[in-house]
Amino acid sequence: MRDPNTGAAQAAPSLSRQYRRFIFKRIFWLCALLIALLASLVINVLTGPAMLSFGQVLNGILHPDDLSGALRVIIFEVRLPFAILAVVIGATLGLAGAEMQTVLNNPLASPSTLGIMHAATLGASLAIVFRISALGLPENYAVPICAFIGALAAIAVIQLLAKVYGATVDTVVLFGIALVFALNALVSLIQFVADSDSLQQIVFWTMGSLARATWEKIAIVATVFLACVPFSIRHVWKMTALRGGEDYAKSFGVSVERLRLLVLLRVSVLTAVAVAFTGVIGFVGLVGPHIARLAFGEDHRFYIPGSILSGAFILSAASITSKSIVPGIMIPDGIVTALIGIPLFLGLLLSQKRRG
Amino acid sequence: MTYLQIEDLEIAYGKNTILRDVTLSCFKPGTITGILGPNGVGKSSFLRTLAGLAPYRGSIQYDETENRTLGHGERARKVSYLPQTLPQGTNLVAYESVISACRAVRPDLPRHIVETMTEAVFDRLNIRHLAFQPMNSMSGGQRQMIGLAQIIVRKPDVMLLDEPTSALDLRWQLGVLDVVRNLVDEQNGIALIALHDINLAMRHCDQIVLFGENSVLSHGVPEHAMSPDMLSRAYHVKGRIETCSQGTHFVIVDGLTNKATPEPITNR
Repeated sequence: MRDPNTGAAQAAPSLSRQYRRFIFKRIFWLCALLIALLASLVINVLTGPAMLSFGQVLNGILHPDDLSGALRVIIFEVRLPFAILAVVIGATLGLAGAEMQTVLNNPLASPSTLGIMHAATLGASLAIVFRISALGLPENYAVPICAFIGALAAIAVIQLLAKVYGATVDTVVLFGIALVFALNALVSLIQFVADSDSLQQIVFWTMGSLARATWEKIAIVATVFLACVPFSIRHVWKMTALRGGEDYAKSFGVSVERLRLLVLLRVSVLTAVAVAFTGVIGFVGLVGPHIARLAFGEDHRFYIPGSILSGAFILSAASITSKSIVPGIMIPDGIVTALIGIPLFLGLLLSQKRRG
Repeated sequence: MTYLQIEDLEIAYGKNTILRDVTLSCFKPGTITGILGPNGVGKSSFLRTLAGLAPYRGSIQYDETENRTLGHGERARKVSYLPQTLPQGTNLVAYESVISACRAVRPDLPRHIVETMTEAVFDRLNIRHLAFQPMNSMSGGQRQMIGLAQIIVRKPDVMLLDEPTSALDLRWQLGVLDVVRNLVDEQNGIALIALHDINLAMRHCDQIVLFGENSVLSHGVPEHAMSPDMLSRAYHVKGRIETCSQGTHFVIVDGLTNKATPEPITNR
């Protein structure tokens, strides 16, 4: 390029400078999504039949000792755990879905693809129908623990089959789909023999709900999530390289089989711990990563945080809606996430198409 | 500078032997070797095996170190392999794809060095205009160029390129092979390139390895390795080697031998 006035050669802007501007935009939109998430968290805490004002809630959080017994229960035992669990579970499923889609090279993959959620449902159904009391723990932990064991058993079976038969990624997905059908049949069988009370509980569990949120559950899910994040960060470049194709990643020195094993284990634990406490909330792990991919691309330095924030935002918005549609009645979050996520996802998809 | 030595190499998938008795010590630093042969004869398997992506019997040595004993990362720093398939059409822009390839191999490199290397490879391949275009909006040829950029960004000593020009038009084919030549000269490295275009190989390669019937049919400088007899044995065609007014050797194919139809391509 030449300067029109002097005729001297004009240096083209360096690619690294253009890249910094490109990255800056992504960071800006990540921050915008974080602000939207925080806003949804605040709205979630404010939403409910008790009609508390922002000032009352804020004052209550800052000065808990001044609260009446009823208000303290509403804010600290109901509203806050419910709103925070939505964010934590959404973030967990968003992370699990994003890594699953990359490592299985399949945009339709989600934490439910390999039957992990269905195995959790089977574990929960067994606990409900046969009233299993797990390891002497409180009764309300029996179902989550059985669900967790079920989810881990599913991934153990898949990994074992993959190891024994040296399965490719496509075969792993097919194992997972076969497992989904088998587990669905077993859950149906259990529902068939269940009494009406148990049947109602199983159906409610499969719809997914944040209603049983407690601080202990938040602490457990958040701990697992925070323990997994550093490993995800460590793998961002390898996972980004994997998007180009398995042979390309291998030629860059990525041990793809090892990476896939580690990521699937991580995703399994994340999914298992999330669904154990809430039941099946399937849509977040599929749509969160899609939204992140459309908004932030597939550089995993942005795609992973984008998926985490998208997942958290979808579930947070869904939980607000679940409380708002019919006052006084909380519609299961698993249903609402699908109803909220689909239009959001389609809107992004169509706007991207329009931009070309 | 890297030396490559192959002895008694045998490649097999299960009971299906792809190549056997391959012994080659002709890969001198600073040379480009064309890997030629009909479909399904094992050219891609040969390159994948040299890249450490497939099991083998016999010996492949880089600088007297056996290939199978090299770790993934260690091998990737020395050897770059361009697969036959194009990079996937993802929602990554080209610049990110190249940076991630560089980072996956060398996570220890400082950011500014990676950025300088990346910028240099876009200039070298003359593809700056593609830098911020998403991979999923590129043509096959453009994606092939980005794949090549991912491979050569690290200036490897050994380049294994499996049909690097299959999706490119004539201008870019010549451009890519010129870039490979420059890199080989700069690094005093080795390039092995699987090609279907015999005349492209005759023009740009220092030597040719011709595969046929599960083994090496001939190897050496192009005008010696490629003869009417070899063309007939490898490809079942009648052909001749002619020299043009500028001294370049060309293969001219007159037709199939005995008007035979080509043998079915075996799936390997």
